[in-house]
Amino acid sequence: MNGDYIYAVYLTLLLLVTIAGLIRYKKLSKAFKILTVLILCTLISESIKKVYGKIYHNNMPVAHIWAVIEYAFFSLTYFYLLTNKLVKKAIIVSIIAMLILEIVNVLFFEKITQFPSLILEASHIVYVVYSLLLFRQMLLFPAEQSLFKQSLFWFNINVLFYATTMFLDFALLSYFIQNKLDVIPLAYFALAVNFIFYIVIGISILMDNKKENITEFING
Amino acid sequence: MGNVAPNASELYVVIFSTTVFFVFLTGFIIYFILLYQKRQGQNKTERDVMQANFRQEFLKARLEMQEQTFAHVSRELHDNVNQVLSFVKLNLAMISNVDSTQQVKINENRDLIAQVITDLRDLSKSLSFEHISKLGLVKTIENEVNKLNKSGIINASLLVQGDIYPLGEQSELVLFRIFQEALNNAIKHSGASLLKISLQYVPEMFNLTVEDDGAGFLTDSLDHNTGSGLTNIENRATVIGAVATIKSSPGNGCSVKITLNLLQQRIYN
Repeated sequence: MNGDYIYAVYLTLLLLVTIAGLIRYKKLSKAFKILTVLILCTLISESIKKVYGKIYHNNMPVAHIWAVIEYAFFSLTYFYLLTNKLVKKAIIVSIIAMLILEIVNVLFFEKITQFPSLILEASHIVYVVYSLLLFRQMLLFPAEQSLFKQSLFWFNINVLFYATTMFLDFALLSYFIQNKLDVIPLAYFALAVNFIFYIVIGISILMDNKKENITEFING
Repeated sequence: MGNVAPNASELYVVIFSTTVFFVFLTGFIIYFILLYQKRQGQNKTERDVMQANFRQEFLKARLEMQEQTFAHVSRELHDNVNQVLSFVKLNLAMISNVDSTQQVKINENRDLIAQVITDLRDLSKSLSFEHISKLGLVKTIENEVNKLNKSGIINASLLVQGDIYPLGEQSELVLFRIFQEALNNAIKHSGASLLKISLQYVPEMFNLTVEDDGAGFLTDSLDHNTGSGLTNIENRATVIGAVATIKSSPGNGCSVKITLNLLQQRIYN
Protein backbone atom coordinates (compact mmCIF):
# COMPACT_ATOMS: atom_id res chain seq x y z
CA MET A 1 0.00 0.00 0.00
CA ASN A 2 2.86 2.29 0.98
CA GLY A 3 4.67 1.30 -2.21
CA ASP A 4 1.56 2.01 -4.29
CA TYR A 5 1.25 5.42 -2.64
CA ILE A 6 4.87 6.30 -3.44
CA TYR A 7 4.39 5.05 -6.99
CA ALA A 8 1.32 7.26 -7.37
CA VAL A 9 3.32 10.28 -6.19
CA TYR A 10 6.06 9.33 -8.65
CA LEU A 11 3.57 9.12 -11.55
CA THR A 12 2.00 12.43 -10.47
CA LEU A 13 5.41 14.04 -10.57
CA LEU A 14 5.98 12.70 -14.08
CA LEU A 15 2.54 13.95 -15.10
CA LEU A 16 3.25 17.44 -13.73
CA VAL A 17 6.60 17.64 -15.54
CA THR A 18 4.92 16.44 -18.75
CA ILE A 19 2.17 19.07 -18.41
CA ALA A 20 4.78 21.78 -17.78
CA GLY A 21 6.67 20.63 -20.88
CA LEU A 22 3.57 20.51 -23.06
CA ILE A 23 2.40 23.97 -21.93
CA ARG A 24 5.81 25.46 -22.75
CA TYR A 25 6.39 23.23 -25.78
CA LYS A 26 6.50 26.02 -28.39
CA LYS A 27 8.97 28.05 -26.33
CA LEU A 28 11.30 25.10 -25.76
CA SER A 29 14.48 24.39 -27.69
CA LYS A 30 14.59 21.19 -29.80
CA ALA A 31 16.51 19.31 -27.12
CA PHE A 32 13.99 20.17 -24.43
CA LYS A 33 11.09 19.29 -26.74
CA ILE A 34 12.58 15.81 -27.04
CA LEU A 35 13.07 15.76 -23.27
CA THR A 36 9.36 16.57 -22.82
CA VAL A 37 8.41 13.69 -25.11
CA LEU A 38 10.81 11.47 -23.13
CA ILE A 39 9.09 12.37 -19.84
CA LEU A 40 5.69 11.70 -21.43
CA CYS A 41 6.94 8.31 -22.65
CA THR A 42 8.43 7.64 -19.19
CA LEU A 43 5.01 8.32 -17.66
CA ILE A 44 3.37 5.90 -20.12
CA SER A 45 6.06 3.23 -19.66
CA GLU A 46 5.96 3.47 -15.86
CA SER A 47 2.17 3.12 -15.96
CA ILE A 48 2.41 0.12 -18.29
CA LYS A 49 5.11 -1.39 -16.04
CA LYS A 50 2.78 -1.15 -13.05
CA VAL A 51 -0.17 -2.73 -14.87
CA TYR A 52 2.03 -5.38 -16.53
CA GLY A 53 3.60 -6.22 -13.18
CA LYS A 54 0.19 -6.63 -11.56
CA ILE A 55 -1.01 -8.94 -14.35
CA TYR A 56 2.13 -10.99 -15.04
CA HIS A 57 4.00 -10.44 -11.73
CA ASN A 58 7.09 -9.44 -13.72
CA ASN A 59 7.47 -6.20 -15.61
CA MET A 60 11.06 -6.77 -16.78
CA PRO A 61 10.12 -7.18 -20.50
CA VAL A 62 8.81 -3.60 -20.41
CA ALA A 63 12.00 -2.51 -18.60
CA HIS A 64 14.16 -4.11 -21.35
CA ILE A 65 12.29 -2.33 -24.14
CA TRP A 66 12.14 0.94 -22.21
CA ALA A 67 15.88 0.91 -21.44
CA VAL A 68 16.69 1.15 -25.17
CA ILE A 69 13.98 3.73 -25.90
CA GLU A 70 15.07 5.89 -22.97
CA TYR A 71 18.67 5.73 -24.14
CA ALA A 72 17.62 6.77 -27.66
CA PHE A 73 15.66 9.75 -26.31
CA PHE A 74 18.48 10.92 -24.03
CA SER A 75 20.96 10.52 -26.88
CA LEU A 76 18.73 12.56 -29.17
CA THR A 77 18.47 15.27 -26.50
CA TYR A 78 22.26 15.47 -26.34
CA PHE A 79 22.40 15.26 -30.15
CA TYR A 80 20.71 18.66 -30.24
CA LEU A 81 22.62 20.07 -27.27
CA LEU A 82 26.11 19.16 -28.48
CA THR A 83 27.45 20.97 -31.52
CA ASN A 84 30.50 18.94 -32.48
CA LYS A 85 29.70 17.08 -35.73
CA LEU A 86 31.88 14.09 -34.85
CA VAL A 87 30.15 13.73 -31.49
CA LYS A 88 26.76 13.96 -33.20
CA LYS A 89 27.71 11.10 -35.54
CA ALA A 90 28.97 9.10 -32.54
CA ILE A 91 25.62 9.66 -30.77
CA ILE A 92 23.67 8.22 -33.72
CA VAL A 93 26.05 5.25 -33.92
CA SER A 94 25.73 4.69 -30.16
CA ILE A 95 21.91 4.41 -30.42
CA ILE A 96 22.28 1.61 -32.96
CA ALA A 97 25.07 0.01 -30.89
CA MET A 98 22.87 0.11 -27.78
CA LEU A 99 20.05 -1.61 -29.67
CA ILE A 100 22.41 -4.36 -30.80
CA LEU A 101 23.80 -4.65 -27.26
CA GLU A 102 20.26 -5.09 -25.91
CA ILE A 103 19.51 -7.86 -28.42
CA VAL A 104 22.80 -9.61 -27.54
CA ASN A 105 22.08 -9.08 -23.84
CA VAL A 106 18.62 -10.66 -24.08
CA LEU A 107 19.90 -13.55 -26.19
CA PHE A 108 23.05 -14.41 -24.21
CA PHE A 109 23.26 -12.64 -20.80
CA GLU A 110 20.12 -11.32 -19.14
CA LYS A 111 16.85 -12.96 -20.08
CA ILE A 112 13.82 -10.82 -20.91
CA THR A 113 12.41 -11.63 -17.49
CA GLN A 114 15.58 -10.47 -15.68
CA PHE A 115 16.52 -6.91 -14.66
CA PRO A 116 18.39 -5.26 -17.59
CA SER A 117 21.33 -4.12 -15.44
CA LEU A 118 23.92 -4.43 -18.24
CA ILE A 119 22.14 -2.08 -20.62
CA LEU A 120 21.30 0.37 -17.82
CA GLU A 121 24.88 0.49 -16.55
CA ALA A 122 26.19 0.98 -20.09
CA SER A 123 23.63 3.76 -20.62
CA HIS A 124 24.61 5.52 -17.41
CA ILE A 125 28.28 5.47 -18.37
CA VAL A 126 27.41 7.04 -21.73
CA TYR A 127 25.21 9.66 -20.01
CA VAL A 128 28.20 10.67 -17.87
CA VAL A 129 30.28 11.04 -21.05
CA TYR A 130 27.51 13.12 -22.70
CA SER A 131 27.29 15.28 -19.62
CA LEU A 132 31.06 15.88 -19.49
CA LEU A 133 31.10 16.69 -23.21
CA LEU A 134 28.35 19.25 -22.71
CA PHE A 135 30.21 20.77 -19.75
CA ARG A 136 33.27 21.06 -21.98
CA GLN A 137 31.21 22.74 -24.71
CA MET A 138 29.72 25.14 -22.18
CA LEU A 139 33.22 26.12 -21.07
CA LEU A 140 34.35 26.63 -24.66
CA PHE A 141 31.34 28.80 -25.53
CA PRO A 142 30.20 30.47 -22.32
CA ALA A 143 26.91 32.33 -22.58
CA GLU A 144 26.37 35.85 -21.26
CA GLN A 145 23.48 34.68 -19.09
CA SER A 146 24.14 33.70 -15.48
CA LEU A 147 24.96 30.00 -15.21
CA PHE A 148 22.22 29.46 -12.64
CA LYS A 149 19.60 30.83 -15.02
CA GLN A 150 20.58 28.40 -17.78
CA SER A 151 18.33 25.39 -18.30
CA LEU A 152 21.27 23.63 -19.92
CA PHE A 153 23.33 23.80 -16.72
CA TRP A 154 20.57 22.40 -14.49
CA PHE A 155 19.69 19.67 -16.95
CA ASN A 156 23.30 18.63 -17.44
CA ILE A 157 24.24 18.70 -13.78
CA ASN A 158 21.09 16.69 -13.11
CA VAL A 159 22.06 14.03 -15.66
CA LEU A 160 25.58 13.84 -14.22
CA PHE A 161 24.23 13.49 -10.70
CA TYR A 162 21.59 10.94 -11.75
CA ALA A 163 23.87 8.79 -13.90
CA THR A 164 26.75 8.64 -11.42
CA THR A 165 24.51 8.18 -8.37
CA MET A 166 22.45 5.44 -10.00
CA PHE A 167 25.67 3.74 -11.08
CA LEU A 168 26.80 3.87 -7.45
CA ASP A 169 23.40 2.55 -6.40
CA PHE A 170 23.74 -0.43 -8.75
CA ALA A 171 27.21 -1.15 -7.40
CA LEU A 172 26.00 -0.94 -3.79
CA LEU A 173 22.97 -3.06 -4.64
CA SER A 174 25.24 -5.77 -5.98
CA TYR A 175 27.38 -5.59 -2.78
CA PHE A 176 24.30 -5.62 -0.51
CA ILE A 177 22.82 -8.64 -2.28
CA GLN A 178 26.16 -10.50 -2.09
CA ASN A 179 26.37 -9.77 1.64
CA LYS A 180 22.66 -10.44 2.17
CA LEU A 181 22.08 -6.95 3.53
CA ASP A 182 18.76 -5.18 3.61
CA VAL A 183 18.34 -3.54 0.17
CA ILE A 184 15.30 -1.45 1.18
CA PRO A 185 17.45 1.65 2.03
CA LEU A 186 19.01 1.42 -1.42
CA ALA A 187 15.58 1.17 -3.04
CA TYR A 188 14.51 4.33 -1.19
CA PHE A 189 17.80 5.96 -2.13
CA ALA A 190 17.17 5.17 -5.82
CA LEU A 191 13.63 6.46 -5.47
CA ALA A 192 14.87 9.73 -3.91
CA VAL A 193 17.43 10.13 -6.72
CA ASN A 194 14.66 9.55 -9.28
CA PHE A 195 12.43 12.12 -7.59
CA ILE A 196 15.26 14.68 -7.56
CA PHE A 197 16.04 13.87 -11.19
CA TYR A 198 12.51 14.48 -12.46
CA ILE A 199 11.97 17.57 -10.27
CA VAL A 200 15.15 19.18 -11.63
CA ILE A 201 14.15 18.17 -15.17
CA GLY A 202 10.85 19.94 -14.55
CA ILE A 203 12.69 23.04 -13.33
CA SER A 204 14.99 23.01 -16.38
CA ILE A 205 11.97 22.67 -18.69
CA LEU A 206 10.37 25.66 -16.98
CA MET A 207 13.60 27.66 -17.39
CA ASP A 208 14.34 26.72 -20.98
CA ASN A 209 13.82 29.25 -23.72
CA LYS A 210 14.92 28.55 -27.29
CA LYS A 211 15.68 32.25 -27.85
CA GLU A 212 18.25 32.26 -25.07
CA ASN A 213 19.69 28.83 -25.72
CA ILE A 214 23.07 29.23 -27.39
CA THR A 215 23.14 25.68 -28.74
CA GLU A 216 19.84 26.30 -30.52
CA PHE A 217 21.48 29.30 -32.19
CA ILE A 218 24.56 27.31 -33.19
CA ASN A 219 22.50 24.37 -34.47
CA GLY A 220 20.31 26.76 -36.46
CA MET B 1 15.66 -9.52 4.58
CA GLY B 2 19.28 -9.04 5.75
CA ASN B 3 20.37 -11.47 8.40
CA VAL B 4 24.13 -11.85 7.86
CA ALA B 5 26.26 -9.08 9.33
CA PRO B 6 28.88 -7.87 6.83
CA ASN B 7 32.56 -7.47 7.61
CA ALA B 8 33.04 -4.16 9.51
CA SER B 9 36.06 -3.10 7.47
CA GLU B 10 34.14 -3.80 4.24
CA LEU B 11 31.31 -1.60 5.44
CA TYR B 12 33.79 1.17 6.23
CA VAL B 13 35.17 0.89 2.70
CA VAL B 14 31.65 1.14 1.28
CA ILE B 15 30.82 4.18 3.44
CA PHE B 16 34.17 5.78 2.66
CA SER B 17 33.79 5.15 -1.10
CA THR B 18 30.29 6.60 -1.09
CA THR B 19 31.48 9.69 0.81
CA VAL B 20 34.43 10.13 -1.55
CA PHE B 21 32.06 9.80 -4.50
CA PHE B 22 29.75 12.58 -3.28
CA VAL B 23 32.66 14.82 -2.25
CA PHE B 24 34.20 14.35 -5.70
CA LEU B 25 30.89 15.05 -7.44
CA THR B 26 30.30 18.20 -5.37
CA GLY B 27 33.92 19.29 -5.92
CA PHE B 28 33.54 18.82 -9.66
CA ILE B 29 30.35 20.89 -9.76
CA ILE B 30 31.91 23.72 -7.70
CA TYR B 31 35.05 23.62 -9.88
CA PHE B 32 32.93 23.79 -13.03
CA ILE B 33 30.89 26.74 -11.73
CA LEU B 34 34.04 28.69 -10.80
CA LEU B 35 35.75 27.86 -14.10
CA TYR B 36 32.64 28.81 -16.08
CA GLN B 37 32.30 32.14 -14.31
CA LYS B 38 35.98 32.84 -14.96
CA ARG B 39 35.49 32.07 -18.67
CA GLN B 40 32.39 34.26 -18.73
CA GLY B 41 34.48 37.10 -17.29
CA GLN B 42 37.24 36.56 -19.87
CA ASN B 43 34.69 36.47 -22.68
CA LYS B 44 33.07 39.66 -21.47
CA THR B 45 36.45 41.41 -21.38
CA GLU B 46 37.26 40.21 -24.91
CA ARG B 47 33.85 41.33 -26.13
CA ASP B 48 34.28 44.75 -24.51
CA VAL B 49 37.70 45.16 -26.15
CA MET B 50 36.24 44.18 -29.53
CA GLN B 51 33.38 46.64 -29.10
CA ALA B 52 35.80 49.40 -28.08
CA ASN B 53 37.99 48.66 -31.12
CA PHE B 54 34.97 48.69 -33.39
CA ARG B 55 33.79 51.98 -31.91
CA GLN B 56 37.31 53.38 -32.35
CA GLU B 57 37.46 52.32 -36.00
CA PHE B 58 33.97 53.69 -36.61
CA LEU B 59 34.88 57.06 -35.11
CA LYS B 60 38.12 57.18 -37.11
CA ALA B 61 36.25 56.45 -40.33
CA ARG B 62 33.68 59.13 -39.50
CA LEU B 63 36.38 61.70 -38.78
CA GLU B 64 38.25 60.79 -41.95
CA MET B 65 35.08 61.34 -43.96
CA GLN B 66 34.54 64.65 -42.20
CA GLU B 67 38.11 65.72 -42.96
CA GLN B 68 37.67 64.80 -46.62
CA THR B 69 34.53 66.94 -46.74
CA PHE B 70 36.34 69.83 -45.04
CA ALA B 71 39.23 69.50 -47.51
CA HIS B 72 36.80 69.53 -50.44
CA VAL B 73 34.96 72.61 -49.14
CA SER B 74 38.31 74.29 -48.43
CA ARG B 75 39.53 73.67 -51.99
CA GLU B 76 36.24 74.87 -53.47
CA LEU B 77 36.39 78.08 -51.41
CA HIS B 78 39.99 78.70 -52.38
CA ASP B 79 39.99 77.64 -56.02
CA ASN B 80 36.48 78.53 -57.08
CA VAL B 81 34.57 81.00 -54.89
CA ASN B 82 37.58 83.17 -54.09
CA GLN B 83 38.63 83.25 -57.75
CA VAL B 84 35.18 84.39 -58.82
CA LEU B 85 35.09 87.04 -56.11
CA SER B 86 38.54 88.28 -57.18
CA PHE B 87 37.29 88.48 -60.74
CA VAL B 88 34.22 90.49 -59.60
CA LYS B 89 36.49 92.80 -57.61
CA LEU B 90 38.67 93.29 -60.70
CA ASN B 91 35.64 94.01 -62.86
CA LEU B 92 34.44 96.61 -60.40
CA ALA B 93 37.86 98.26 -60.53
CA MET B 94 37.61 98.47 -64.31
CA ILE B 95 34.32 100.37 -64.32
CA SER B 96 34.91 103.91 -65.54
CA ASN B 97 32.86 106.90 -66.66
CA VAL B 98 30.78 106.97 -63.50
CA ASP B 99 29.92 109.87 -61.31
CA SER B 100 31.49 110.33 -57.87
CA THR B 101 28.48 108.94 -55.94
CA GLN B 102 28.53 105.73 -57.95
CA GLN B 103 32.32 105.53 -57.62
CA VAL B 104 31.94 105.66 -53.82
CA LYS B 105 29.39 102.81 -53.96
CA ILE B 106 31.69 100.78 -56.22
CA ASN B 107 34.62 101.31 -53.85
CA GLU B 108 32.49 100.28 -50.88
CA ASN B 109 31.48 97.10 -52.72
CA ARG B 110 35.12 96.41 -53.64
CA ASP B 111 36.08 96.75 -49.95
CA LEU B 112 33.27 94.42 -48.95
CA ILE B 113 34.32 91.85 -51.54
CA ALA B 114 37.93 92.15 -50.36
CA GLN B 115 36.73 91.48 -46.82
CA VAL B 116 34.73 88.44 -47.98
CA ILE B 117 37.77 87.14 -49.87
CA THR B 118 39.94 87.50 -46.75
CA ASP B 119 37.30 85.80 -44.56
CA LEU B 120 36.84 82.96 -47.02
CA ARG B 121 40.61 82.49 -47.27
CA ASP B 122 40.80 82.24 -43.49
CA LEU B 123 37.88 79.83 -43.43
CA SER B 124 39.48 77.79 -46.18
CA LYS B 125 42.71 77.64 -44.18
CA SER B 126 40.96 76.58 -40.98
CA LEU B 127 39.23 73.78 -42.86
CA SER B 128 42.31 72.63 -44.73
CA PHE B 129 44.22 69.69 -43.30
CA GLU B 130 47.33 70.64 -45.27
CA HIS B 131 47.33 74.15 -43.85
CA ILE B 132 47.03 72.95 -40.25
CA SER B 133 49.73 70.32 -40.66
CA LYS B 134 51.99 72.87 -42.38
CA LEU B 135 51.64 75.52 -39.67
CA GLY B 136 51.43 73.18 -36.67
CA LEU B 137 48.95 73.20 -33.81
CA VAL B 138 50.32 76.17 -31.84
CA LYS B 139 50.57 78.52 -34.82
CA THR B 140 47.12 77.53 -36.13
CA ILE B 141 45.49 78.12 -32.74
CA GLU B 142 47.41 81.39 -32.42
CA ASN B 143 46.00 82.54 -35.77
CA GLU B 144 42.48 81.61 -34.67
CA VAL B 145 42.92 83.54 -31.39
CA ASN B 146 44.15 86.60 -33.29
CA LYS B 147 41.18 86.41 -35.66
CA LEU B 148 38.82 86.12 -32.69
CA ASN B 149 40.32 89.15 -30.96
CA LYS B 150 40.18 91.13 -34.18
CA SER B 151 36.54 90.25 -34.69
CA GLY B 152 35.65 91.50 -31.22
CA ILE B 153 33.22 88.63 -30.63
CA ILE B 154 35.14 87.44 -27.59
CA ASN B 155 38.30 88.34 -25.75
CA ALA B 156 40.62 85.36 -26.14
CA SER B 157 44.04 84.69 -24.64
CA LEU B 158 46.52 81.95 -25.42
CA LEU B 159 49.10 80.55 -23.04
CA VAL B 160 51.71 78.04 -24.22
CA GLN B 161 53.76 76.33 -21.53
CA GLY B 162 56.77 74.05 -21.96
CA ASP B 163 58.92 73.21 -24.95
CA ILE B 164 56.76 72.67 -28.03
CA TYR B 165 57.17 69.28 -29.68
CA PRO B 166 55.21 67.75 -32.58
CA LEU B 167 52.25 65.57 -31.58
CA GLY B 168 51.79 63.96 -34.96
CA GLU B 169 49.73 65.25 -37.91
CA GLN B 170 46.62 63.24 -37.06
CA SER B 171 46.61 64.16 -33.37
CA GLU B 172 47.26 67.83 -34.04
CA LEU B 173 44.44 67.95 -36.56
CA VAL B 174 42.03 66.25 -34.12
CA LEU B 175 43.15 68.57 -31.29
CA PHE B 176 42.56 71.57 -33.52
CA ARG B 177 39.07 70.30 -34.40
CA ILE B 178 38.38 69.85 -30.67
CA PHE B 179 39.56 73.41 -30.09
CA GLN B 180 37.23 74.62 -32.88
CA GLU B 181 34.32 72.69 -31.36
CA ALA B 182 34.99 74.12 -27.89
CA LEU B 183 35.32 77.61 -29.37
CA ASN B 184 32.09 77.19 -31.29
CA ASN B 185 30.26 76.05 -28.14
CA ALA B 186 31.59 79.00 -26.13
CA ILE B 187 30.57 81.56 -28.77
CA LYS B 188 27.21 80.04 -29.68
CA HIS B 189 25.84 78.86 -26.34
CA SER B 190 27.70 80.28 -23.34
CA GLY B 191 27.49 84.01 -23.91
CA ALA B 192 31.07 84.26 -22.61
CA SER B 193 33.18 87.40 -22.89
CA LEU B 194 36.51 85.83 -21.96
CA LEU B 195 38.18 82.75 -23.34
CA LYS B 196 41.41 81.26 -22.00
CA ILE B 197 43.25 78.75 -24.11
CA SER B 198 46.20 76.92 -22.66
CA LEU B 199 48.58 74.50 -24.33
CA GLN B 200 50.77 72.65 -21.87
CA TYR B 201 53.71 70.64 -23.18
CA VAL B 202 55.24 68.44 -20.49
CA PRO B 203 57.34 65.32 -21.16
CA GLU B 204 55.09 62.42 -22.23
CA MET B 205 51.98 64.51 -21.60
CA PHE B 206 50.14 67.23 -23.48
CA ASN B 207 47.17 69.25 -22.20
CA LEU B 208 44.86 71.51 -24.15
CA THR B 209 42.49 73.57 -22.00
CA VAL B 210 39.75 75.86 -23.23
CA GLU B 211 38.01 77.83 -20.46
CA ASP B 212 35.23 80.39 -20.78
CA ASP B 213 33.40 82.63 -18.30
CA GLY B 214 29.97 81.95 -19.79
CA ALA B 215 26.66 80.77 -18.37
CA GLY B 216 27.85 77.22 -17.72
CA PHE B 217 25.61 74.19 -17.40
CA LEU B 218 25.07 71.03 -15.39
CA THR B 219 27.37 68.35 -16.79
CA ASP B 220 24.95 65.65 -15.58
CA SER B 221 22.31 67.01 -17.96
CA LEU B 222 24.49 66.25 -20.99
CA ASP B 223 22.86 63.77 -23.33
CA HIS B 224 25.63 61.51 -24.62
CA ASN B 225 23.47 59.99 -27.33
CA THR B 226 22.35 63.04 -29.23
CA GLY B 227 25.73 63.90 -30.75
CA SER B 228 26.09 67.29 -29.12
CA GLY B 229 29.26 69.35 -29.50
CA LEU B 230 30.63 68.17 -26.16
CA THR B 231 29.98 64.54 -27.09
CA ASN B 232 31.84 65.19 -30.33
CA ILE B 233 34.75 66.49 -28.27
CA GLU B 234 34.78 63.32 -26.17
CA ASN B 235 34.54 61.10 -29.26
CA ARG B 236 37.32 62.92 -31.08
CA ALA B 237 39.56 62.70 -28.01
CA THR B 238 38.95 58.95 -27.83
CA VAL B 239 40.08 58.55 -31.43
CA ILE B 240 43.61 59.76 -30.62
CA GLY B 241 43.72 58.05 -27.24
CA ALA B 242 43.22 61.26 -25.30
CA VAL B 243 40.91 61.93 -22.38
CA ALA B 244 38.41 64.79 -22.42
CA THR B 245 37.44 66.29 -19.07
CA ILE B 246 34.52 68.69 -19.21
CA LYS B 247 33.82 70.72 -16.08
CA SER B 248 30.99 73.19 -15.74
CA SER B 249 28.28 74.42 -13.43
CA PRO B 250 25.58 77.06 -13.88
CA GLY B 251 27.08 80.55 -13.63
CA ASN B 252 30.68 79.34 -13.49
CA GLY B 253 31.60 78.96 -17.14
CA CYS B 254 32.97 75.83 -18.73
CA SER B 255 36.36 74.17 -18.91
CA VAL B 256 37.27 71.60 -21.54
CA LYS B 257 40.56 69.84 -20.89
CA ILE B 258 42.10 67.36 -23.28
CA THR B 259 44.88 65.24 -21.84
CA LEU B 260 46.99 63.31 -24.27
CA ASN B 261 49.27 60.66 -22.91
CA LEU B 262 51.97 60.41 -25.51
CA LEU B 263 52.62 56.73 -24.90
CA GLN B 264 48.95 56.00 -25.63
CA GLN B 265 49.02 58.39 -28.56
CA ARG B 266 51.90 56.40 -30.10
CA ILE B 267 49.84 53.23 -29.76
CA TYR B 268 46.80 54.79 -31.41
CA ASN B 269 48.87 56.17 -34.28
